[in-house]
Amino acid sequence: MFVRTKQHPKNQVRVEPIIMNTPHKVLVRQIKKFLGASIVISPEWEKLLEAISTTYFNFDADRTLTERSMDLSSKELIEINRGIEEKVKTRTKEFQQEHARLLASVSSFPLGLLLFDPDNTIILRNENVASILEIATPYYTATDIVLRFPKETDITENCRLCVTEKRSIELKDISIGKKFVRVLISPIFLNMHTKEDVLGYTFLIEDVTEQKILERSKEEFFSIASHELRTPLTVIRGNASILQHFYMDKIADAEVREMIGDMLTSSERLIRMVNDFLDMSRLEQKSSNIIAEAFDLTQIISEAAKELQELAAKKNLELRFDVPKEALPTVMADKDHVMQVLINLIANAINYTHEGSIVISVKSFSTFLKVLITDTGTGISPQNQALLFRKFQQAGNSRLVRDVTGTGLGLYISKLIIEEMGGVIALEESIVGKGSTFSFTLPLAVQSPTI
Amino acid sequence: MHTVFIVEDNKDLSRMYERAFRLNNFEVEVAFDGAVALERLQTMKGKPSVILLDIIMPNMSGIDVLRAIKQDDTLKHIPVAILTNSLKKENTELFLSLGASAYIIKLENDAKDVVDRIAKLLTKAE
Repeated sequence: MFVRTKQHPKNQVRVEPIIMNTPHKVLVRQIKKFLGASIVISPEWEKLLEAISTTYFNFDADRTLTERSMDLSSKELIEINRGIEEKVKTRTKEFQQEHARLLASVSSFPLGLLLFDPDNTIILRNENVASILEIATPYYTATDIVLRFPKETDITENCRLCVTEKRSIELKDISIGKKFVRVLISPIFLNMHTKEDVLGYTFLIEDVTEQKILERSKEEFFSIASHELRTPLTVIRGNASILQHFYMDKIADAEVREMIGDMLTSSERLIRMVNDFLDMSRLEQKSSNIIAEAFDLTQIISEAAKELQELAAKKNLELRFDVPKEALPTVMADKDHVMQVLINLIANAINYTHEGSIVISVKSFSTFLKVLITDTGTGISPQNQALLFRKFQQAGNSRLVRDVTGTGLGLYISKLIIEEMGGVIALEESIVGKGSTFSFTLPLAVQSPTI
Repeated sequence: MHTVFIVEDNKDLSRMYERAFRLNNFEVEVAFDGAVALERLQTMKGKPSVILLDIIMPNMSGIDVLRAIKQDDTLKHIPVAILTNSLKKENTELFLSLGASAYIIKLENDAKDVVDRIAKLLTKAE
């Protein structure tokens, strides 16, 4: 009639199908005993017996089934219950451990962390928040946080933007009391990839006071260097130069005269170095005086070439500027700084060329001009090419010297200058033993309309 | 003979410039701060031919001394050359607009160059 199968790992109940047409053997025997063996089993009797048997079978089967399942379920229930209890215990412990780990890691980094739900309720916090924001109570609310920030920072609006526009927002250098903090507000997505379902947002607070102090002292250092270091250097060089100009004929000892000469050369070198360091730091801090104006580049190149003509002549090198036949459009850049880069690149070329020439040319493009300085010098090996334009590229290995002042900063400074003016500086080509071509670009003052 | 009035608070520097000018046949007067310089300029009988003026000085800065000189009818004709180590580009225009005749950066100019610049300035003035 039916098959009942109940699966359980340990117990399995299986009730076999009931075969209806077989009379119940015990029942038949009992009836025979009661009525006497002589009784003739007629078809009517057989039908009756069959009916009684079926009822009995069914009743018996149901009873067994009920008994068994009753028995089983209570056992099972206990078992299941125990299992669940175990699992709850383990999971609770795991959860507690996970929570502790999360809190520990969240507390260990030197940032203040808050997790908000989309309704701006704090759902997680670490201890650093209160200490960075100098909040006395550990039971602060979102409002307490907002109140710690200056009005103009508009924390509330920024949090709203983070959730609605689903993007991270960074707020730099916010002053809170005597501190400076940086804040990063990022949305929490249920799925990072689809970026759907914003579950809230994280609110990271970093105390950047120390960083600011360091930055400021770095700036102060350079301003000290610019004034305090430059003054004594001026005195040393000035006196050495006076000695050389006015007293050389009065000094009989050749060695003393040589000493004076050395002092002068060294002080001049030291001055160049100090100037390079200052240049670099000002360019890196974007506080250099780069003032762009429209000017004729060919004129500046001619001036630079003229200035270095003597240096080239001393080495019997030809220094030539191939002035373009057609007038070039003006560029938008800082004249003095372009001059500085030109002097650096041309002097480098002279320095690294033993015979032949240094040729300067200009190519015109739709939005910029490109200056090329080609020499027939020593060339730069591929592995050293990678080091060009880097800070102190000369410092580690004197063979890499490609720098006139000797600080290893010449090309790095040139790169900073050109990039600040919106151009690109590059080594176009270099073959060891054949020569190198350096180039830089400068934007045109008036951008020709593109068709 | 020309007289140069050096206003410079750093004594090593002022001595060095003084030496350079004397060796180039200048007469030299020196003051170590702006306020003293201005007072001396106003009281001295023979006015200097040229003034070399530092910017950063105690008591009275170079900019205030320059303003005072240019507002004083007995002094305003004297050419003033600013002598500084400040690298602020905008300073140049500011001082020239206030009436300075030259803006010389100490470190970029040898003592001899400074003397030459001043000599040239005086020839131009004459």
